[in-house]
Amino acid sequence: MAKKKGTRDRKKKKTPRDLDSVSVDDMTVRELKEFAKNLEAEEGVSIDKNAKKADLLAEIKTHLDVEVEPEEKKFEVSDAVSEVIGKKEETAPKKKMPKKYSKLLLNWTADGYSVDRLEELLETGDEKKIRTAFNEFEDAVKKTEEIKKQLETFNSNGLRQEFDELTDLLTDPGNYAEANAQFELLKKKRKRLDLKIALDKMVLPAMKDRVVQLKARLDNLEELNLLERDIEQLKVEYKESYFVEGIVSDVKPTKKDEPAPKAEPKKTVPKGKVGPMMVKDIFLLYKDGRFISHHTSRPVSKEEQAKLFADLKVGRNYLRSPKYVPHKLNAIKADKRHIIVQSGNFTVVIMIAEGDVNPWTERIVTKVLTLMEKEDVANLRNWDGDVSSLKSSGKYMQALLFACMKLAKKKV
Amino acid sequence: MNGDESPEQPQETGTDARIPTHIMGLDSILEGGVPKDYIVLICGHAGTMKSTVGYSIIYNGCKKDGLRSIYLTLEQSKQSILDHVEKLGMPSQGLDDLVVVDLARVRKDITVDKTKPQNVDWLKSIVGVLKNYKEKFGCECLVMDSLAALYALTTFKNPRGELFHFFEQIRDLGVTTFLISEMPTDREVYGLYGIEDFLSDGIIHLKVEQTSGGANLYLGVVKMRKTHHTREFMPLIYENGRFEVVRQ
Repeated sequence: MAKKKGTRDRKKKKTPRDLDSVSVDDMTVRELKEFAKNLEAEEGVSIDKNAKKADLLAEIKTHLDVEVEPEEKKFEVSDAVSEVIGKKEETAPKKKMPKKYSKLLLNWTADGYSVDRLEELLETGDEKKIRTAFNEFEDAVKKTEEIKKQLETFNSNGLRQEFDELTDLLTDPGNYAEANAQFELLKKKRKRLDLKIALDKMVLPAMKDRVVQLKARLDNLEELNLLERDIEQLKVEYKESYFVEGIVSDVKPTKKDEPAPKAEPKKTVPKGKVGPMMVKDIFLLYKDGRFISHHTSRPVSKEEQAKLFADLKVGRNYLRSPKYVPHKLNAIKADKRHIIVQSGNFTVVIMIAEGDVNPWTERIVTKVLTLMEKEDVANLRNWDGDVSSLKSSGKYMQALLFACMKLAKKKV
Repeated sequence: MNGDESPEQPQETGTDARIPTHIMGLDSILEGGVPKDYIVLICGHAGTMKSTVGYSIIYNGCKKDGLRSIYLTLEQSKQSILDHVEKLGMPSQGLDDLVVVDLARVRKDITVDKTKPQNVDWLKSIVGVLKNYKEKFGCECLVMDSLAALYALTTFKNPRGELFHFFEQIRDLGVTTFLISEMPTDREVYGLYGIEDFLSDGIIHLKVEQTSGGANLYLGVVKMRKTHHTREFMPLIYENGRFEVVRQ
């Protein structure tokens, strides 16, 4: 083991090698310069004596740490590094490795950082370069850790690829500058996506034109702050419109309410004319409108597909309208069919059905959603968009489709 | 007054959570504010600043406590209200959680002929939309301005029963509600039907008293359930953008 410098024979005249780093700490600038001079003379090293006190002290300490007694040179101080880089059998003359460097390398390797460049540099034995490189690396690690910490709570939904690329980049603190730039870009992209989601939610007809205008500005990443302010303002107006339109749709006199010029015969739909409810398609969505799955018992042509997705859009927009009542069955009449929307705690079912809405439907959907959500509650609570994590959804939606088919055979 | 509102901060937890009025001096009288989810009448004759007091409560609640609020106007237009409160030092800009809903405009658009039977149930409609709104955006406070305007939209067959039902539905929403009520000049009742006072959980009465030099505004807490409060009328002053009651 290398002896501690402070444990040497104190009767001898004090030389730099007789002092340990602790006693150096107590020296004045003048004493330090004197000490450096002696060290240069004794050890044959070069020290910048005009440097600031802190730098001078650091340089002296480095030389004190690195220098090893000739008889101790047989001892391989660089074992720690060899362990790290796995070159124990190296035949080339071993470079001296201060403990603090080996410890740092071990820590950084354990944290998953790539330290190859530093190890290569250690081989050169160039003290100044090594010290600078280690200091820079340490600084970069600190900054990288800061980014990593922020990434822990970063919402990567919809930006998975960019997120993974950045995570890869962060394994080497040498990439800090690039990673930082990428992180800033990622944050902007997140903001843009969030703003887009906020705009997508504003589906009221009164908002349509302004939403389109604001969406067009989403491409400019540099003006997102300005755009965000405008969207915040629009959000307040949206809330007001949501309320007003909800009331208007309830209280505005419809043609039915207006007095008829002459008495019309009472409109009654003959029983059984429309026919029993036939559920053709079931869509399962997450509560925020994200698509989970589509279930049907028939082949769907391309023409029908377009119509189907138009119906899905109607259902989705209805979800965000003031008329929508959560947890209850909402039926929208469209031509000869109904678009039925009903939500659970985390999911929403949109059914496209022909014929009269069966009064049992609400109860059946509630039961199916309750059971399904109970089974997948852990994944549904904070669903990350991964459909495969919702294992029970397929089974329950098929069951719902089957139940609705059975219901169609029963008399209303 | 030291202007420090810290003793009047809302009590967030427990069953005694309160919504501060941020009217200086009043919150200490109300043991911290109006109990959460209560229905409170803010009543008085014309010109007693009922609407301004109502707006100021939710304005400060939104600004200082982050309460999401709705000011539902059935009488005055939104622009007229915003202009007025801005002049009094309560600008709405930047307050994303305070929404002024202009139903006065809707009323204008839809002329209601009270001589004809109506299919529209405004009370039910308002409660229904409020429920959906709360679920979608969240809402802790509501000011409905005014009860008289709401009554003008509705034909009550049985006011006692229907109003009881309406108040219960509002209470079920879990939103602290301030109902602006203009008192009839011919009777000393707090609402048009004389039953609003016992249907509500609290009554804040504003009145003007003539003096030789002019008129002074007074505020009195006539009723506030679950609260030990004084019933004296205190001068209400508005200075530097805020209301203050002065205890003599």
